[in-house]
Amino acid sequence: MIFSLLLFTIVALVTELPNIRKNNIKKERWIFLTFMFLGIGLTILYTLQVPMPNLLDLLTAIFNYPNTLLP
Amino acid sequence: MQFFIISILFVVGDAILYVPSLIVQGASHTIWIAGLIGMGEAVLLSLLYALVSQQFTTKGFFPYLELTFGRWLGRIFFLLFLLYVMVDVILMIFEMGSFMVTVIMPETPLEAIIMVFLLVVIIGARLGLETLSRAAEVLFPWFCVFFFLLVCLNFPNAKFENMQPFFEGGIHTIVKGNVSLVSYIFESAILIVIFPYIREKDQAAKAYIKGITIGVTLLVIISLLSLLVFGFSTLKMELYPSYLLGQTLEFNFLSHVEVIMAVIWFISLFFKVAICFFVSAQGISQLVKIQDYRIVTFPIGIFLFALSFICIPSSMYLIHFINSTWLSYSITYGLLFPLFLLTVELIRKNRKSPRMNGR
Repeated sequence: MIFSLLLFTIVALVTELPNIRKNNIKKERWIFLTFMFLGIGLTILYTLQVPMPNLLDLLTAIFNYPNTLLP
Repeated sequence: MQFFIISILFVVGDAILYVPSLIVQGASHTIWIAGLIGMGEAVLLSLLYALVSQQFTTKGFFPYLELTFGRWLGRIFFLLFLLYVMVDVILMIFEMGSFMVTVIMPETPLEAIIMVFLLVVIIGARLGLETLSRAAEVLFPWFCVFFFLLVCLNFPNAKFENMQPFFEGGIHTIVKGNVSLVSYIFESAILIVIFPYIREKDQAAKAYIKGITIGVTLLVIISLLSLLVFGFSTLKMELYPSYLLGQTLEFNFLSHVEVIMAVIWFISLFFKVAICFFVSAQGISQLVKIQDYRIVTFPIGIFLFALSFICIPSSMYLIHFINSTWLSYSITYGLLFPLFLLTVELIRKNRKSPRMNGR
């Protein structure tokens, strides 16, 4: 898990570093870094086995009742 | 032509591995009726989606939503739609990893398989839609050849008595079986977003409708074949009956021919995941107003990778989720959302024409 995360981040940074350094656009840098930290943070939290709210549980709570009406 | 191929691969996508078992649990012996009704529904639904996408062939899905509903409401709708696509991607990559770990490579950890697959999907999405469709054109003959081989070589094993008790449970079971098939057809609504990228606009709708119908036909053929070859009782116990179809083929010197079935499945699943990922990366880059979507692909890839483990603790949870929630979820985005868009468009046109007649 940690190995795959490291691999992902290294590949991502290697492919994106020239782009970010060339263009020097703040907004894209910010968006990239924000999303990266979000993804990495989620993976780290998962590896540490911190209980996290499940998105599919939310969807089940919303859509369970209409599903009982259908066949 | 390329859109035709992509639609076929998209529909067959992940359904080819799950639909046979799902349909059999609903409609015991009447798979063929449920399948035929499913093909009709596929035609109707693809007509609906083609109609919806005619509204914005030049603009793009997000600008169209912003125009129709205003800035904030359009963005909220688009975000919810993107959420649907992303949940779809998460489910699919987990299904793929689960299949590999269960059947083909039981000793490899799940994360490694999902990571490798996601890397390839990210690279594919970064290369763009044109490259993806050309790759689909190249791989499609292989897909067809292996599919034909699978069907034809299994045909001697097919016993038609397995289809025997017709109408055993009545219409109720047919509807139940059909419902499992239809909830996968609704996912092809995601292709609406790709319509603006096609060059030959007038042929796009026809290619789309043909592609989806043929894709559903292929699914029905595989489900029917698995019923004919195995019989009802064996089929009910299996989680991956289409893979089992590959395992029944034995040659003298070739073993493990079932990997050919896995190749079919890999090709179609890869294109489905790559297109869905492309749609979500494009969507997020349009929401945040970035010019190039490629910068966002890797972060979204990591995000989805993390989510696929957080959201789906185990295979049983996935099966429970599909049985309990997936139908109404995909109906909301596959049926209600396009109908809603169409009705809003009709209301707008009716409002415009009385004004122009009055002047």
